[in-house]
Amino acid sequence: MTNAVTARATPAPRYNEAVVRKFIIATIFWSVVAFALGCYIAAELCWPALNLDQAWLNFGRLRPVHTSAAIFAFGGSALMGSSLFVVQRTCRARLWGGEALANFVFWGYQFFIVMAALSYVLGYSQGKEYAEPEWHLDLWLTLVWVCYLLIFVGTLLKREEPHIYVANWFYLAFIVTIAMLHVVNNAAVPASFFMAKSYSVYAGVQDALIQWWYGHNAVGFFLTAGFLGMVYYFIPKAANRPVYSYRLSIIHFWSLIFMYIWAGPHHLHYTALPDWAQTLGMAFSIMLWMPSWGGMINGMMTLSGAWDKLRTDPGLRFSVTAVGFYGMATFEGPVMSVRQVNSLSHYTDWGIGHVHSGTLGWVSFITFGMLYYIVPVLWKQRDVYSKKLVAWHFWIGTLGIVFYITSMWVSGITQGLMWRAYDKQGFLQYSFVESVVAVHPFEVVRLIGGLMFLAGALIMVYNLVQTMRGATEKTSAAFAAQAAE
Amino acid sequence: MPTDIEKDEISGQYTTGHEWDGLHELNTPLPKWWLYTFYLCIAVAMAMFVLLPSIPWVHSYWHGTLGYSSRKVAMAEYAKMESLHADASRKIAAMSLADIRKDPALLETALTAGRITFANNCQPCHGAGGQGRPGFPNLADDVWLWGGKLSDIQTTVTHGIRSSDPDTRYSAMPTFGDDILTAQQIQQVADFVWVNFYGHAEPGVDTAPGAKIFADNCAACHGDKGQGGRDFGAPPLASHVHLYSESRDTIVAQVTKPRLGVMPNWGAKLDPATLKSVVLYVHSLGGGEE
Amino acid sequence: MPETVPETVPETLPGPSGVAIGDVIVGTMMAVLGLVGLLMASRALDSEIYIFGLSLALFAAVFDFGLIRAHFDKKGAQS
Repeated sequence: MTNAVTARATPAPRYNEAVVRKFIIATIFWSVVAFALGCYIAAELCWPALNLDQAWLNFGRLRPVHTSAAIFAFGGSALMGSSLFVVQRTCRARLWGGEALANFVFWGYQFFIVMAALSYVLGYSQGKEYAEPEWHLDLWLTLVWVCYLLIFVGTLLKREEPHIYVANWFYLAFIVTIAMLHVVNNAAVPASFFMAKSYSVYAGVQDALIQWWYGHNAVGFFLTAGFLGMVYYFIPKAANRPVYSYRLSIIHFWSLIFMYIWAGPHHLHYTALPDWAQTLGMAFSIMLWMPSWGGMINGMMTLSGAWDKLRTDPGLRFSVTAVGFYGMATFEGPVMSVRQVNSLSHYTDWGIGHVHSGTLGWVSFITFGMLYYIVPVLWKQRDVYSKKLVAWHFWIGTLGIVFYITSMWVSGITQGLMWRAYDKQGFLQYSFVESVVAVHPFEVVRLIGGLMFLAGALIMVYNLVQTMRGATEKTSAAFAAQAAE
Repeated sequence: MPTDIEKDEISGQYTTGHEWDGLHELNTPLPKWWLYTFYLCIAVAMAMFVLLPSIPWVHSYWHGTLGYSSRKVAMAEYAKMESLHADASRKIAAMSLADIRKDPALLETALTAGRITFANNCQPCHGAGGQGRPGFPNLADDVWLWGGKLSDIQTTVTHGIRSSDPDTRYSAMPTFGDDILTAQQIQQVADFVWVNFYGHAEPGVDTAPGAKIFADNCAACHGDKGQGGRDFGAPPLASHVHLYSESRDTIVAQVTKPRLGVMPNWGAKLDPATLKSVVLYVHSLGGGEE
Repeated sequence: MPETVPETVPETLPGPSGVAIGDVIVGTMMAVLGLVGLLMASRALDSEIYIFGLSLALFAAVFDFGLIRAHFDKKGAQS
């Protein structure tokens, strides 16, 4: 079969790549900010005096800055940039709505991120995890997001291709569902139009359920569906192979979409949430296992016949390893959602480790794979500046993740076991403080893992900046020759 | 319509005939193991729906054939742990603190309960083992603000200090900087305390004016020899154990505008047996008095 | 690499005055939002709304300035 682009009567339109380039630069910038902040608050957990007695350096304020920088700034910029790149090329259509609208989405989104981070350090928060910004910032994000949706759907509608490519299904599911989650979870009445204080329209356990319906699907649709869109374009592109199975794409797409939205209550086991709702969340999480793995199979098996490319294209190694971590995290998730396992794992570092095997191993690695492919394309270079540095980034990053996840497993299980331990007279065996002391060494190992991951990202920044500047490196050819042996 | 269906040489599968930006898709059937595992997971979920509380009705819900309730499970576990020391707790609640100390087995149970209760409730302020922190008294030494007998400790723990309890302990050190003493007088009394009670030699400093101010204003509570007054919660000044720090500046600050510490009334939160256990535990830390 | 149309082809249809319709709509929206920001800052009851309002007004002004600049840059490149 031919891999070349089928001959067309008309040339492809001129794509809006300027806005994609902006999003890619933002992605690279926020990656360093997010990882560095993560390392800082990890160090605060080891040595609390590092908050320097400043309110704005307190863990409670910096933690949402880290999570928002990682998920919304880094992950969001990567998703928006790559989706606007993919939708144009797979639709053979320039972005709908013109340059001004696309620029508004870019700058408006960055404005949201900066203002949100600023509000956290000043101490303003709704107190909803991953939905901390107050009402005025929520409204602003809604406006930006609707414009993003308009651009994406408008481009799909004016496409020249007869069919919509699978990557776009996932991107569209991400955009539409996040809009719904954001609006419903942030429904609140401001105390005044001139005050950054609002009251949620939900109360008590309903509020908790809505929050975790939102929180879990932020994982499901922001960090899963969106990045699966990335898998479906950049892996077949880099591997130069057809997608493994169209049928699997359809089945796993619809089953993923249908089941993810029910899984949120597994965050509220053993709480005031009624047992029947907890069971629904647990059962749907178990059913979700195979739909999640459908994406992993399609990503991995697309490489069949092209595995040798992993030796010559270190960028592709990131994408494939990412899919592997995705498979691991989406197996661990259903296991942790089972009530009895959850009674051990909940509120411990195990949860933190689980999240980071997803965010470091899956989200970041798939994004790094995308960046190493897209930057040479967007800046019209033949390849990245140095493949050797990509390989260094890969190994130091992978090792960092291993340090991170394993230390959090040990730490989490230690905490879980200490908290539930009773002596023979029926008294608690350990105090909470004793469990904090016990996990201190693992917290330090976690910090080391995080620092390694950050170091890898800094190598990437250098490499990509050199690529953008059009620099070439002698060792690049030597590396390719060595790899080919 | 797909018109470009081709066979992929490597996998032997056919493509769907669509093309986007050079990308194609194979029409590979679903992997069997994937599909059957998916069916199995659905079966497991269905079994959970039947066995456990799952489907909501309008005014109730399906309770499940197992009759499971997470609250029931938690309460049963709690009751089991309680039952292991129920007898001992009943005795501790009924007996006097002195009698408990005469029963070694009972005392051991009380100290075990007291240790964990202290670690989860008192340790954040008083430190591990009650070694204290600046502003929070050391409970393991001989220096007490309100007394170190079992009954003294029990009163302090039950009613707290400056708490919402009507019987709370309350020490009222006046704000001497508020028009009672002049700044110069406060410096003088600080000199006197620093030299005479803390025992720091300061050649050339005249402590006579300070001695007079102390006798007129402070001795009533802190004692004329600075030995302290436990009836008022007045700290002994003639010692090297201090609530804040041993410095002349701290004396000046504390006389000018005293920091008044607080402690919750644990009687409102802990049951009698647990409270007595904590009292016995604190008493056993090293400073307990007979 | 698929063939692409040269960079000089205008991407959106110009409106009656030669200004792209999208520029007019987005530019007007931003102008209004900038004024809303000023209003919020002027009567703010806490520092967050004050900072947000002023930042929004500044953001809107810089954004609209960028739109105008891009318009004339493009016009200059065409002539």
